Amino acid sequence: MPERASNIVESRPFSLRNLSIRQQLPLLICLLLLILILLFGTVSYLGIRRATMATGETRLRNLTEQLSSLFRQSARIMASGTQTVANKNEIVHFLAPDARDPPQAGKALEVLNHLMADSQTVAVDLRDLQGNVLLHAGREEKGLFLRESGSRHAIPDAFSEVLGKPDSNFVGKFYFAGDSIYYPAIATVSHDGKPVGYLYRWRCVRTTSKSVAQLSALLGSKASLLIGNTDGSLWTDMLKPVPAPPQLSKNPNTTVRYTRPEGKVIADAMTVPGTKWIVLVELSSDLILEAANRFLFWMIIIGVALIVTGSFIAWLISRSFTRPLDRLLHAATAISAGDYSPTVATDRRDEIGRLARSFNSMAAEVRAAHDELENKVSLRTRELEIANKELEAFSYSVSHDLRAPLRAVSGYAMMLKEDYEATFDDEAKRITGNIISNVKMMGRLIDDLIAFSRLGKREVRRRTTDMQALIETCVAELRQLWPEDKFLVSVDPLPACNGDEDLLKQVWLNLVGNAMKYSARNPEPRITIGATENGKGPVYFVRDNGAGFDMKYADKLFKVFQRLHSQEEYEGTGVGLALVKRILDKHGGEIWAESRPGEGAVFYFRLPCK
Amino acid sequence: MLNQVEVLLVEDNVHDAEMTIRALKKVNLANHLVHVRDGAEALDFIFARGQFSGRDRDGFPKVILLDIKMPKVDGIEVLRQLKSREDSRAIPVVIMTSSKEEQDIISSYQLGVNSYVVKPVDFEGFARAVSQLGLYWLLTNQPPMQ
Repeated sequence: MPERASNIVESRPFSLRNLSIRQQLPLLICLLLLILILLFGTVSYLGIRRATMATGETRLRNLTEQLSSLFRQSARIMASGTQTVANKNEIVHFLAPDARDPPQAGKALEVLNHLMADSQTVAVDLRDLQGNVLLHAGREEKGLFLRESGSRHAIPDAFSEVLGKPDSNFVGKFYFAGDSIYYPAIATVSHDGKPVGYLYRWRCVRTTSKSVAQLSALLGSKASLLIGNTDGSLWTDMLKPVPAPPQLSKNPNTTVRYTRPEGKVIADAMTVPGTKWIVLVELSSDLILEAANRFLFWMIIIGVALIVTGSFIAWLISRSFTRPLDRLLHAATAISAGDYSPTVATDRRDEIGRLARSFNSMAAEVRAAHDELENKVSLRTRELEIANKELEAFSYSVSHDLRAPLRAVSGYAMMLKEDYEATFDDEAKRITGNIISNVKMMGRLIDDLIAFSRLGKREVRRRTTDMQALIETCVAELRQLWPEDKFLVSVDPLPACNGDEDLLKQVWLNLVGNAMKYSARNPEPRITIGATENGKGPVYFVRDNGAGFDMKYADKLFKVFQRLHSQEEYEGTGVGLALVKRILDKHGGEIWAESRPGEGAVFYFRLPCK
Repeated sequence: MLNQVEVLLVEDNVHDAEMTIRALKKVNLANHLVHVRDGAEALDFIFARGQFSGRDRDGFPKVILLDIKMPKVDGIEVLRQLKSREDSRAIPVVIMTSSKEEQDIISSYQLGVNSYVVKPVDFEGFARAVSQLGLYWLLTNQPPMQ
């Protein structure tokens, strides 16, 4: 069996069909599972992500609302507390247009100082409607709120906040000064239902990082709270000023998303009624999506486990398919290699089992056919051997039994000639001479016939043969048969060939011998021996200028006992060229001739290269 | 020594025998020739048995001309018996036969034949071959000491 290229490393383009079934099935299952898991995973991950995002947004809104209302309440308390002070008689009387005298001022200042008892209140101003500070109480050492101080720490005049709403009662914007953030609670002082001035109560945002952390814990991890002015002039995390958030939602019911250095966040902002504040809560998207991400993580783990398990099971299944197929393959390979004994054992009832059973019956039939063929061949071989033996016995008896009487005829004719020739007349001499020459002829015929039939069973022993040396030996041998050496023999260079030297010598002896025989009557007999090459092997030729022959009888040339000349013209048995043809046939070569009567003949023969 | 047999001709064909004897006579070598007609007779003669039991056992012929194809015991068998015995192994044996069969030639030489000659069909060649043989084995060749 040719090795079916199994051990040849061939770089074929990858194709599923180049893989064995044992590889194909797990690969297909693996691909199928992968596609399913990817599809299912993506769809459900997106769904979960959307759901958790919605939940997160709701939570964010609630949180923002709660914080906003928390700030609103404390702002209201603060505003109403300030208003209570502003409504006090001491303050109203001090600001009343007619009673701005020093004793009133003393009483009013006392009230103001009383307000300072609140630790977060750093200063209290009493202003007229034009914003001029009439009375001031506060921690002077800071000198923060003196407009005339010119200090760079002085916060901008907050009076503009009340312009246009003279009877306001509210909490104002945040201001940053020094290292603290301040805001005013502003209350209108009214006398007889008319505003006469304002009470500014400055408070410091004094939050400790601990309380911020507590607030953050309240908010939940990864959430942060920012508070700022509605006009965007200042933002703080309750400890220090911070940059304004990148984006604020324009619509109060939607959240916005942006990226902080710490990661993506969603944010919701809400104004605090009764103040100039806005509350913003940021929630980390990672936190919101944590559940979705955890789902994705487990999805991947389960997916990989599914694919591995699925592929393994597919491998097991395909193995149970391919095992019997492998056995079939081995059996088929063995049969094609000439071993007809293997059968495929199977107890399966499925298609593979049926295939195995029909394979077995086919193998049995092949085996039977093969055995029958073998029997026939051995029978024929025996018959051939018997026929061969008979032929051998025949040629043996021809060579032995036919010669003996022939020799006797020859012998007695010779004895007659020797002992009684003196008494013979010419006719008797001619007759005895004819007897003797015919016996010689018959002897040669028998010899040639035996040689011809013996060639049939002779093996061709091929080896490289030096044709040049061979032809020279043959020409020398043949020249001795002609006493008057008159032949002009020219031998061109001859290539060596692969053949049986003894048989090729017979070829040359016959062809050159014929050339001599048929050109001997030419006064200048010329024989040319040479070779050409025709691609299929060397072509040798022998050319003579002898009698030649008519090409229409060319087909008879190489048949045994067929002659184109009479025995009287040229003696011969008609076996020589038949013998030559038989030798060339056995070599796988061929012979042909070209001639015209009276113009000589050329005999060509070709030998195969190998 | 006068009655010493020089040539033992073992030949079933009377015509071949006649021609052989005639050829040897022409060169004066047929005076001490015995002709037997088959292998059994040949063995009887050589070992002085049967009809030849009265023969002097010690006198072996100088040469035996032996045909192969003969009735009863053939030439190959005669050759085998001669060459397998100590006393007769030294006698020169020339196979003269019509057979060119390779198998015959090979087995003859393996059995120790001294010469193997194929009888030419024509009488001239035959006579020449026989007389040359006779001259060589009876005159040229030095036989073993008797």
